[in-house]
Amino acid sequence: MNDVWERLRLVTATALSTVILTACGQSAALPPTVIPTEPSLIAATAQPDAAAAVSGEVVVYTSRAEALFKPVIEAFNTDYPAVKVTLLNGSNGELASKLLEEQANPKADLLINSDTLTMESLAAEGIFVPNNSATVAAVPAPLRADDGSWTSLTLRTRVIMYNTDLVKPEELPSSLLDLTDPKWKGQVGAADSTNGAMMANLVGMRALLGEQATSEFVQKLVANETQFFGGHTDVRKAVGAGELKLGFVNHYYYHLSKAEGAPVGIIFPDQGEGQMGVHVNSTNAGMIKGGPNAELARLFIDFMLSPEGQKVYAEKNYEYPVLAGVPLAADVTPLTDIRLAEIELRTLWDDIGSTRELAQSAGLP
Amino acid sequence: MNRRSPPLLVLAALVVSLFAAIPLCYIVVRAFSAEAGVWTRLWTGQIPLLLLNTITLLLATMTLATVVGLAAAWLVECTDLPGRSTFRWLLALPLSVPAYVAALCWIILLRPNGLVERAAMQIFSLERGVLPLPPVNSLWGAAVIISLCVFPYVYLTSAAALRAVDRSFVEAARVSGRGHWAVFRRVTLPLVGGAIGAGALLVGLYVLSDFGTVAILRYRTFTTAIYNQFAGQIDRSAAAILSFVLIGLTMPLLAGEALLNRRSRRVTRESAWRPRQRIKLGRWRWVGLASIVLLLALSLGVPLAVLGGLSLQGWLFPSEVDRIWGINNDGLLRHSGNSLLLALLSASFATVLAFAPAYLVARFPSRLPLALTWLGKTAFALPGLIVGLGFVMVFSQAVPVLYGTVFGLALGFAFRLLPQAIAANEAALGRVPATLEHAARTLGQRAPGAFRRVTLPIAAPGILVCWTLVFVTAMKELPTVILLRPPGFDTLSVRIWAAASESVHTQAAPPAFALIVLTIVPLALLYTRGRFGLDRAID
Repeated sequence: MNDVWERLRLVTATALSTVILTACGQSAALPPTVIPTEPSLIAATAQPDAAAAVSGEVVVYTSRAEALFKPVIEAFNTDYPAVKVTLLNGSNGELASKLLEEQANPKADLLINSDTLTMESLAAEGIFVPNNSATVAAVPAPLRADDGSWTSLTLRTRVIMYNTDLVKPEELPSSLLDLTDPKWKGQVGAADSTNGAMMANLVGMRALLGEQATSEFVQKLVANETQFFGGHTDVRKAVGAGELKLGFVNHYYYHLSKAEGAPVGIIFPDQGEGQMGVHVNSTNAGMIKGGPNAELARLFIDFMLSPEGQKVYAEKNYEYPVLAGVPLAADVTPLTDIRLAEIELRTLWDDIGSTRELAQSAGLP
Repeated sequence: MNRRSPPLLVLAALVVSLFAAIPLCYIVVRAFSAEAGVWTRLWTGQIPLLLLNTITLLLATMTLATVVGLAAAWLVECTDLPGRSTFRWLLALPLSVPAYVAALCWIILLRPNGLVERAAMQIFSLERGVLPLPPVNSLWGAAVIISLCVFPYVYLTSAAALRAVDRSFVEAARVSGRGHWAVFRRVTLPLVGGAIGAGALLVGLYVLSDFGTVAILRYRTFTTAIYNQFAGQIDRSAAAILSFVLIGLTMPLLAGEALLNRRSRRVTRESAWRPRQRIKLGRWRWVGLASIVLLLALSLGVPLAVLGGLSLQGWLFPSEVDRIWGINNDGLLRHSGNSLLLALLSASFATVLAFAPAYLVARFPSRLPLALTWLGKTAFALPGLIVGLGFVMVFSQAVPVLYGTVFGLALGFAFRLLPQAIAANEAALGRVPATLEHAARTLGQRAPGAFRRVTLPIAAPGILVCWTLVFVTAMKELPTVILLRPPGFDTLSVRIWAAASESVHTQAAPPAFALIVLTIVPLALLYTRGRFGLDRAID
């Protein structure tokens, strides 16, 4: 019975996702095509008896903040108590380098990061192994590799958060380009060039506004004494504590600060006619070729893409699930209500190197 | 007696030193295989600023640490400072506080809305932002914090040298009518100058290789820029080029250190040594006492109080558990165990590996051995990041069995710490008179037997000191372990780094406190019981 119910839920979810993605496909970057999924192919992820018997270790390299990754591991372990998830944390590029270095002798099963471009670059280097899991195939095509070797897990938007005690509603910026306004001198926090989300944002900006405008934007940010940090947690804490007035972050950092009771607000930038719209990036999981525990890695990916795993991401981390039909956390603005930047990030992976050069030449630390 | 260096010994030293030079070769190859465009972009872009930042930090820290270290050494060794026999070893203990941990503590205290501001707001009912706070994230913040952690390098070398100064020199100058200050300037200082310089250069080398502190304080130097280049992208050539420039900066310091080391050996005379006469400070004693106490409070008291206090708070108040223990609440014991295991293994490897080069230099100081040890020592000046990377390459490709194992990590660590081990072992083995070995050889022992039965037992206390120092450094080491650790093998330093890089500074408190406690014990034992020159009679 359980099994049937689970399948029914997944089928509904797939159907729903088609509808919703079609709806937002008109305004957003995501094309409305969704790979149709044979319901019978979808493995039942949670069969309590069988699940408890699965044992072993899965080694995950991750650039995600531990606090944001822990909830989903805990949920996974309630279903699969005998599978140990061993983490190795590092920054996006650090782990990518490590994987390349280890290519002949892989130590990891999975890479879980928060930047689409890195996944495509690594896929081009042959780091990943194809994954024909049906749950991956159910992810909308622009959000995964064609061979399933990597897949997005969640989506996030790039927003501006502000300290409500320090910034009056009428002076709020409405565009990313407003962050370079001298009235915010020394008052803006952002991530530096080690951060995948920040770099991907600049890649997208370059595709939409051109090289010149992007370079100028970075130059002016630097000239405006913007504070650059390695990650966004620093930024959100500084904004929450009133050390900075504005922060250029992923949307859920606003929600995390809000949940802590910090006086913060959120702005979706560039919503006007002719403006570039809000940038979207994804967190992803890729299966490492030659990883020691491929079966468990696939199982863990399936779990993270299951309604149960997606719900954890949505509720605990305020992220957007890639599986449609999973409800968003309260207060999280649906993607359909936001004007999104019209780019397919995945196709821009080859621009990352030149964009980094551009940004660093413009002074981004 | 055969004065040519034994070929087996040379071979062993060669292998060890070449291994230690792997990171160096790795960087040179990577830097020169980079495209010309990358070079120009860096030279016209980041490098000028990085040079300026790194050199100012280097000079500021060397000056501060030298002044503080020398003043402390002079007060303890040359004056009638109250409590000097205790301060003598207490002043070495700040070495147990990693500078990146000190940086964390000062951030917790002094950041806006930090402990100090909130306390001031409550006590004096001030508005937020009214209290002027010293900027921690600045050149002076970094220089002061690093100085507070590394002044013992200068203190230890100058205290040992001051102690070794022959009393008769000072007496002769006094008899000839010179005042205390003139004697210090004209007689003592020239005699101990080499040792002070050596200590200052150690500080300099430390500053150039430090990564954690400047990263946490967001002060941009070469190491943080290398990390950014390395962590931000897959191509490593930019990181290699920056490392190459950094190595260029360290070379003069290394050369200077080698030079002073050889010179300082000439000025001390062992046989005629008598304890020096102490200068009576009169009422100034209390000023001296206050400054030493303040120094210890800032360098040792503040970190211990802040970290201990926070850990305790998290432990006592269940509502604070998540805020303070957070990501560490389930593994403090395991991480401490990992740290200890790693430090034990790598200190032992490093001490043993250092035997051949150190013995060679101590006994046959000709050009080849000196060049070999120098090669081995360069690793000290390299950012641990690069050392780690070099070994990742070697292990993952040449010895895949070792790669990603704790053993491999400890071995990589040992090579990273080798320079320190060589220097300390060289001193220990050098103190054993060669004549004793010759006597054993004439009595029929072969060279290995003489070494095992004569040299080793006599040098044992010195070797133990060497081991302890390497152990302490291994406990604190950050960048190498970040790169080389196998999945799931997190040490205390990795946990501190994880908390700091996610900006949850308070969650770094429990592992940082554990780290200091675990390193301060061996250090204290070393300086109170050990025979490190500190146990000489004190009047």
